[in-house]
Parts: sequence; structure tokens; C-alpha cells
Amino acid sequence: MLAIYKREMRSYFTGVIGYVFLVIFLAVGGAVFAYTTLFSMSADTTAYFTFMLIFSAIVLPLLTMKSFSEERKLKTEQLLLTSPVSIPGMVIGKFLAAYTVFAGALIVNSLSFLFLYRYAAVRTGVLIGNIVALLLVGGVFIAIGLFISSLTENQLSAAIGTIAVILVLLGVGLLGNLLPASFFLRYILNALSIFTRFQTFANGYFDLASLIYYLSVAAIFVYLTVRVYDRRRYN
Amino acid sequence: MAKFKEKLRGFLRGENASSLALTIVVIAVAVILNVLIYLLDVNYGLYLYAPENDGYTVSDSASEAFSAAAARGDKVTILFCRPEDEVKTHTTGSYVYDTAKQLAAKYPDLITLDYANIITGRRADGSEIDLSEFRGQIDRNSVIFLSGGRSKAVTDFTTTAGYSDFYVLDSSGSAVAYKGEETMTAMTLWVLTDDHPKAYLTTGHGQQLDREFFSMLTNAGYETETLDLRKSEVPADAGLVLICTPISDFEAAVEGSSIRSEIARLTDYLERGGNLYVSLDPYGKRLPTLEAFLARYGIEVSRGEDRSANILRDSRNAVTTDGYTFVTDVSGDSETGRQIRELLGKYDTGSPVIGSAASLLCTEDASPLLVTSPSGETYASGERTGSAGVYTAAAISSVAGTGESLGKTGHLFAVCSASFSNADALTAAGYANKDLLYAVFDRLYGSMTPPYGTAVLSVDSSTLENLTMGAARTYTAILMLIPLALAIVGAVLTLRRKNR
Repeated sequence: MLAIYKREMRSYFTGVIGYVFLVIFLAVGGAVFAYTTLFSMSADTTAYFTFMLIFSAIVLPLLTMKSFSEERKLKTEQLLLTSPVSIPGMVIGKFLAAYTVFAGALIVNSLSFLFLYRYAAVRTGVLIGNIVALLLVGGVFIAIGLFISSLTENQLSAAIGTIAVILVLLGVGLLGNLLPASFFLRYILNALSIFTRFQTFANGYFDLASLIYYLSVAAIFVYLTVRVYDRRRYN
Repeated sequence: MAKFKEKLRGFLRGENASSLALTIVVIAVAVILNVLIYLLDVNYGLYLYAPENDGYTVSDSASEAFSAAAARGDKVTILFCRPEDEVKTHTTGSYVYDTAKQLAAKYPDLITLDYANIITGRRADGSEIDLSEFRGQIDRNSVIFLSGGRSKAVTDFTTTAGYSDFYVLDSSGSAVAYKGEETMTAMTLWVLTDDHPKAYLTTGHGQQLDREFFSMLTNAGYETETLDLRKSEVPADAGLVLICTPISDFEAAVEGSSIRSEIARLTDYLERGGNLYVSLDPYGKRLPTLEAFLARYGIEVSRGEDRSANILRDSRNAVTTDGYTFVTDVSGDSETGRQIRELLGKYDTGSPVIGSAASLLCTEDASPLLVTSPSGETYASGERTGSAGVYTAAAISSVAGTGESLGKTGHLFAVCSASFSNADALTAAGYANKDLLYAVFDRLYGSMTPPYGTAVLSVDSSTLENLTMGAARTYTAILMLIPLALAIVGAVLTLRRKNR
């Protein structure tokens, strides 16, 4: 697993994908932070985190789109499948590499909050809650991205497919809100919505149910990716 | 056993049809786990809440004045008109109770707390209480300050929430910030002396006085009354006369007339050593008589060719994106300015902020008090009328006494901004508008020691106080440096790899 992790990390930065992702994430994140807080004279970071949630849904597929698709396209997939690495180890190695790049970018971006402490009584708990929530949601997005990438050898299809699935998971809550309050389906859709779950963290609540939800969704997609490769190895 | 292991391994690898079943089982387990946790969460609240910083800690601002009072042997009792159990659990009273407790613990030789149930008419120790011995109206939300036979009741009649004088209220009467330490410190200082100067608020020209500004005058030690200069002279006991953003002009002195005009009355007052505070609205109707009166003492409102006021803009120190609201510097050009700057530095309360202010021109009799940075500019009717430079936003003038008042000095403070002393400016944490005015009253007008340097606790603590647009631009540039550096490193490494 460690070998795959190292190989993936190296591939991000021997090509341009890693740099492109970091530059876009940090530049857009920094600009949005400046616009929603510094130039709005507000220490309220709700708008920033909501934007970053949607933005992550669009840029994270950049990191994951090539994970498996490229291996298939370049025919290096056979090497991976015949290498002495377990399938779960391979998938988790790739997941962790993408996650490291994302978490690193988010943590560097979060340093900008230090500016706020000089000018306002920042609610640190809420801030940490938001960062943790975005880290968890990022894990879910990466897991989805890896799964979609394992289904196709076309990187563009992988990216678009990932964005579509993420947007569905983000939007089911909005759909639920259109239903009457008496409809049970409304509660199910809200419970499935990544966005609704995110709100609890954004308000300063470290909610165990949301934590388990994010971890289980990420785990399910990682598991599904393992299943796809397991099947391919033995076929 | 080996056979079972092999079967299990095959099942997990999905070597047969049961791999689909396994996937369904995994998803089902995840769903059941989530539903269980969700139900537990709904019923038992499985979450940790990150608490907000909602406590208030008293500052050391009053230590000098309180220690001096304690050294003199003064004693002050803060009497709540509710039993202790009630006030400590009261929604708004609990903050007041907590601050009083902290002050009593910090200055035990000076302050003691007492509680009374005014419905039963008994104090906490069971003794009877006679409410008629206290000045002012009393109800269950009153807090009475007592010292050596003097008393001052702080009673709330504004809102149903109670204790509103310890809070900053918005126009709808909702509490937006807690300022209990300031009120409590001011009232403690109030009952330590009998000598309270009088502040007269002029009326008759649509003058507007913000509730917070009125409360600030009381906290500075003034007893406040209204005064219509069209009908009467400035009383002899006036310690301060205020003209706050009038909308119509004052009457000019008419030569040879036996009726004394408002301006004549103000001139007399000022030249016998009086103290005048004037604020004008730069966007309001022109007030030529009042402006001419100010110009006589060296303070002139700067106007463009079309006679509209030249409005100040300072993009470097701006706190709004349009640049018209900015942090000012206290000018050290005059002795008064230096004294006030020193006072503000001592209490570390930041700098005053001013918005939509007209530039003032000072001749030799007057000195600038609040100025822009060297990047200040002026605009009139949207056109730039003054290039980058230091402009005056507030000025002071010392007026030598005449006739019987020879040797006395009158003081005039003028600002041409409607928002300089409104509730937002006076109560925003991080800005020193209130302390600046306290310093002006203290040093120029000789009021009692005001409650300098006390902070407010905002209900909405999300506003970035004292952040200028210049600083915001610098921070944004720093944030952009990281991706820029990464882009350069990435490009260089990729090119080198390609060339190899």
C-alpha cells in the first residue's frame, strides 16, 4: 500500500495535475476567503465553507479522474493487477495519496483564518468544525472519484461522472425540502444529503451521526472500487 | 477449516455469484449503522457543541480611579432590586450580576453587593428597604449605586427584557452588545462625588441625539438637560453645550436689535469660557450662519465650487470598500491632540473611525484633531476635488475669554459627519470613538473621570473591527503568493523534466 501511495504522490508532482490542483485550490480558496471575510468585514466563514464545498465537488475530480482511467489507457493496469499488492491496498494507497494532496491544500488554505483572529473574537470551535467537515466531505468526494475512475478509461468521462454523482448527493437535500414536511421521503433525502449534514458541522456541532455518515459513504465507494478491481483481476 | 477459509476468501473476492450478496450486505450494514446512529442522535443528542465565547471579563480600565477611591476610604454598594437567585438566572440580568461580582472581587475595599426584594420590601439580610430614599424611579430591574448618602438608580424602562442600560440596543430595541462594565464603572464613579457638570442639548433645529450618545454623556459624569437657545440664554451652570446635526440654520445676530440671537448667545457662552460640541451633516442643507460662527473660531467646512461639501476618502485606512469610512489618526500637532493621543494609547482602545465626513479647514485659531493618512482625498458630487494628502476630519479650537472671563478658555469641538457619534460608531469594538469623546470631555471640558477603555461584548461577534482595506489588500496579496510560487515551481520543474 505504501509503495502505491508513494508512486501516486510522485505521479501527481512529476506531471502537472498536482500543481494545477494546488494552484487552483489555493488561489480560488484565497480569493474567496478574502472576498467573503476580509473585504466583507466579517469573521463569519459560512459563505466561504459553503463555496469551498461546492468548489471541491468540481476540482477534486481533477485529482481522481486519472487514478484508474489512466492505468487502463496506458495498459499499466495489468502490471498493477499482477503486482504483489492486494487490491484493497492498491485502492487505499491511491485514495490516501489523493486525500493527502487535498488535505494539504485545505490545511494551507486554512492558515488564512489566522488573519481573522487579529480583528474579531473568532469562534474557533465552529471554524475547526467546518474544516473537519470539509475534510470528511473531501474523503467522500475522492472515494466517489476513484470509483467512477475505475469504471472508465476516459479521464473526461470519469471527471464528469464524478461531478454528476457528487451533485446528486449534494442536491438530494434541496429536493427533499421541496416535499411537504409530512412526507417521510423528505427525511430520508435530507439524511442522504451531503449538504444538509455539512450544515451541522458548520454551526459548530460535532455530530456523530454525520461523522458516521461521511465515513460510511467513503467506505462504501472505496469498497465498490475494490470490488470492481477484484472482479477484473480474476476475470 | 482450510476449505472454509478458501470459500470465505473466494466469497470476499467475489469469485462467484455471492459477491453481489456480499456487496448488498456491506451496504445494508452501512445503512443500518447510519439509521441506528441517526435514531440515537435524535433521541440522545450524540454531538459535541463548540461553545461560543459568551462570557465577559472586566478589564483593568478603572483600576486607577477605583484604587484612588478605595485609598480615600470610599465605599460603594451595588444594590440589585431582585433576590440574588433571581438576578443570577435572569436572561439579561445574569451578565450584569456576573460583572458586578467580578468588580466586587477585584475591588473588595470599594465595592460590595447587596440584593433586595422590592415586592416584599426587604433586603437580603431581612431588613426593610425604603425605596423613597433613592433618586429616580425604581423597579425590579433597577440596579442602585449607593455611596455616602448619594444614590443613582439605573432603571430600565426601554425594553421588557430588562437591564437595557447595560446593553447597546439597536433601533428596534434589541440588544446588540453588552456594555455592563462601562455603565457599572461610570455609575460607581458617579456616586463618589456630588459635583456633576451639566450638559445642555440644544433643540429647535431638528437636532438628533442618539440614545448611545446620550448615555455616554451620563457616563462621562454630566447631568443632561435640553436647551432652546431661541428662548433662553445658556445657563450659568452649563459645563457643555451640544449642537448635534441640526437640519435648519441658527439665527444670526442682528446688529442693533434688542433681541439676542442664538448665535449671539452661543458666542457669549463660548467667550466666557464655555465648551461647545458641534456636529454637522455634510449631506444636509447648508447652514451658512452656523458655519460662519465656526469659521470665526478657525474651523471651516471645505466646499467645492458648487458649494457641496468635500467628502473625505482614505483608501489606505478605509474599513469599507468605497473608502468613505476610514480609521483616523489623532493629530499630534497641538498640545491637546498630544494629550488625547497619550490617553488613547494608555487604554489601548484603537483609533477612531469616521464615515461620510466633510473635510474641515483649520486656520491659526484651531487645530486638527482627527486626520486622514497621507493617502486621504476629497470628493464632491462624485468628482475628485482634492489630491492625496492629510486632511482634517475633526478639529478643536481654543477660545480666549473676554470681558469678565478674561484668562478663561472656551473650547469648541467640531466634526462634519452624521455618523461619528451614532450608536454603531460609539459601540463598535476595536474603535476609539467613545474614548476619544471621553478624552475630549475630560481634557478640554474638565468632566469627571470617564470610564475609559471598557470593552463591549457583541451579540454578533463576527464583524472584523479595525481592519482597513489597505491591510485587507496586503493579506490577500500574501494569500495569492503561495499559489503563485507553486505555479512557478511547477512550471520550472515540468519544463526541466521535458528538456531532459
